[in-house]
Amino acid sequence: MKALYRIADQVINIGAYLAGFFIILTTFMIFYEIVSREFFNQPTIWVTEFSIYAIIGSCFLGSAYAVRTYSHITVDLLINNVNDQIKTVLAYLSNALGLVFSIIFTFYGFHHVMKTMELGITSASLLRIPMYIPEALLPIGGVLLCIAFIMQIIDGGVHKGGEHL
Amino acid sequence: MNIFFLGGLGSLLLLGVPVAFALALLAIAGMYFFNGGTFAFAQVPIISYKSLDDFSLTSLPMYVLMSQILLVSGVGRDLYEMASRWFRHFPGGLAIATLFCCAIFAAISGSSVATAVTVGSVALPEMVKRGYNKRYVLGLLAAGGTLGILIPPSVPMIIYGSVTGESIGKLFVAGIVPGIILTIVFMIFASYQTRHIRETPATWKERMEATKTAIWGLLLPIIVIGGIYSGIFTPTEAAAVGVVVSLAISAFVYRNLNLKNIKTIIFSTVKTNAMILMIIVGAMLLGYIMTILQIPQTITNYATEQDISPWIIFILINIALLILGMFLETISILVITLPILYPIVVALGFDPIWFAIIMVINMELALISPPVGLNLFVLKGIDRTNTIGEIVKGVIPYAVIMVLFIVLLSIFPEIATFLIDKVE
Amino acid sequence: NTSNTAKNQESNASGSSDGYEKTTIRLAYNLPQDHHISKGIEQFAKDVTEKSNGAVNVQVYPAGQLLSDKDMNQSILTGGVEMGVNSATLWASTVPAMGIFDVPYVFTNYEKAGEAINGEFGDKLRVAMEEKGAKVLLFADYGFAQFANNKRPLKSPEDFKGLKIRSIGDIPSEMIKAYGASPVFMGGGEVYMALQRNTVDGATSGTTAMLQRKYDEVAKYLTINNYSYLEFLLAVNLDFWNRLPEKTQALLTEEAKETEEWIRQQAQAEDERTAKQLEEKGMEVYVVPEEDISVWKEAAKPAWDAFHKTGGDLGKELLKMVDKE
Ligand code: NA
Ligand code: NA
Repeated sequence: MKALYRIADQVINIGAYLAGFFIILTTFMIFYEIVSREFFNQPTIWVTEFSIYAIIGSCFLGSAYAVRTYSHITVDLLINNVNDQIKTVLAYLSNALGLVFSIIFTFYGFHHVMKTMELGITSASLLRIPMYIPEALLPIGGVLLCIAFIMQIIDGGVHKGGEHL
Repeated sequence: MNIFFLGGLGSLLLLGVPVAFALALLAIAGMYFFNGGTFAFAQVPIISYKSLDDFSLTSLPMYVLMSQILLVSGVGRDLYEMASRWFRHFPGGLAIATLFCCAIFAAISGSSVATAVTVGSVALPEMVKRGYNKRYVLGLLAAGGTLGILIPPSVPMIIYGSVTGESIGKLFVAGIVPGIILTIVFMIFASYQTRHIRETPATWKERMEATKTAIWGLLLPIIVIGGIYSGIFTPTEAAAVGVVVSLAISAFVYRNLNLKNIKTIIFSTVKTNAMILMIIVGAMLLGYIMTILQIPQTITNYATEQDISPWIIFILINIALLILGMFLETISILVITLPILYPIVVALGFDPIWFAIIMVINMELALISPPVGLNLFVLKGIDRTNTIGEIVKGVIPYAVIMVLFIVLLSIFPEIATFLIDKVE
Repeated sequence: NTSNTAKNQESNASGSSDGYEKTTIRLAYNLPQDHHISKGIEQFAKDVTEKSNGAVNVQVYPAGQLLSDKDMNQSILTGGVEMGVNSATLWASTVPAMGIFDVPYVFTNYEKAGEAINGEFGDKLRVAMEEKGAKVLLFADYGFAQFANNKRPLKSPEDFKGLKIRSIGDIPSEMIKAYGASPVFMGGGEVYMALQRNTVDGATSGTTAMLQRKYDEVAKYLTINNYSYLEFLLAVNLDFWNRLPEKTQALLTEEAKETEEWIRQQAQAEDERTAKQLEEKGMEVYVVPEEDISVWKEAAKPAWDAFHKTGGDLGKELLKMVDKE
């Protein structure tokens, strides 16, 4: 059980690393585009498209990590003004609600990806990327979010939202 | 139905559900109850994907990354030292220096949080050490940080442009003069508030030395702004240049880009980025279901069909924004309200570019109004002994200045618009 | 998704007027409200609602209020909206043969395009769309695409050499490359400033959009070469359509036909009006003469080859059909 818990946290960390990698990748791709266009008169056909995919990835793959580090902005008006018992109840409740969203997001995201694959939808650009590839970032991120909220529930009634940035 | 959404959002937020998930959950509930049950959930991935499927949004994570790099390197500290040597002999000299730094960082980054973090972590301890009233300093930093979104580049302006189709370039130009005026007014007020503190002037030699050390920090806004207006890169692409230049400065000038720092930079970027983008996703989901249910359209029609003065409607809009600004994060407010407000404003005959500036100042207010005010949280984060209440008390006079500034802009819209015609 | 449409009708079937079953149809489009396609679609919605005495209620979500062009198709296919208007260019990512409207000089005048769409050519595209789950109610003509730029009058394909041109879609980009220029991709909101600051040298679009986006303020030369006939489709979710009573289907089909013709007439008139207005506002206009078109078409061959690869078997077949004429 403990090992499983550790592995789960590792998986979420891998998501965070990938998210960070995507942001840095975007930066350098766009910088490359500027240099290539301005100084070599050779604009690329792929930077805009890949940047968008990378940023979508950076959000959904990094979101679970933000949950685990209490980085999602939370209103702590009520939480800070109730006793510890109520605070614990609220923590369970809000994490359970987060899990509900994550499950719906993952389940319907997965179905959506399957449908896109079945219809053979591609991007409308020169690259003709099969759209199920970037779209798969949603259910993958969704799975990470499910894991994160389950772990928050296992951790119990800790409610640390609001203070972190 | 309106009660359902308003009450639902309020309760979810109070329960302590993170803002992003509260918005998304409410959207899902709306779909379930008013739009065909679980069948409507098939739209959740489509709308979630669409929310981020926009090239201009790519600048957002890059600005977050840049602020983290500047924070870890010593650029902020050097700039502050320079400004204090130039301004410290004036009444409340360090307050002026702090606002000067805020304006410089505002011109580099598109976000107020980034500006408040970078300047705040340097200026707060320094000013308190030199005897400045802590409450005044907290208010000054919380308010000064908000300049980050008024002085271009600006993430809210990018969002305004991508939602409404207005030229992002024009929006940036429109923010320059109001940004400078508001900075100066803040300076005058802060200097008056702390007028009893005057330090001995620095020598010209000291000033020059500090300026030389800070040269890299000073170059950054020049490169970014110069590049945008000479057409070398677009406002969206500017963020990438900003990151690469600050990385280079950090690696080659300050030589502090070690593995540990890189890790800190990446992980704090990932956290902040996911937090902001998820709020956009949640807000878009909620916006989708509200649009399907024609709620914005009904309000739009109601407002435009009223036989009252456009200015009354304008005042009502500002009050609504102020209230929303207390509870919601700025990006969510923009994404939710713009589809409603933009058509009203255009139909009433107001200049949409001018209105963007009004909107941004309202967002500045949202950043410093409790209970949800990102800049309040930033300052609390820098020093945990600060209480939100103390910061709020410090920031009230600046909020009053901002409201008066909205009035001024309404009387003289040219403050925002005249430069656009000049630039063309 | 059939369960919902069934439920919708169950709950709506209670009352009927004039023999029309009560139905709500949500229709989304992404063009500006004052565009001629938008006007035609709004009129269509109004007429259907009126002629059914309010029983068939077409609820319009205009100007990207609900969906952008990128998520429109999937929303139609999954029943997020019952109807939607989107460009053939974007439908090409689902039905590759739809890219045919972007192939340079496939249609050289408005009448020919109309004939093809009303004939076998159009039928084949309609069938391909239905295979994916969307029924085409009408083809809405946007008008011809042209070039605006800041460097020089584009009097022949050679004049494109070295230019950076903001492109829309994949096949026009292949043509831009074939003419020796480079296609640049950027968000629509940035084009105005990019032209103003010479980040790009030119852009391609219909003159209706150029006027609306104020290209005349930031670009000097306009080249009327009518290289591609931009087409939009009003599509309806097929499951939803099949569940509609015949009477409603007949009404929608009839109104769609009228709208399609009205839009086709408008397309030509609007192209002429907006090109003239751009000239009045100070753009220097060069109209490529009829006899030169063959040269422009020949030079655009690589774009045809690209469509050969992406358009699938149907694409090749359609290309043969129009090339023969
Ligand atoms: Na800024
Ligand atoms: Na607030």
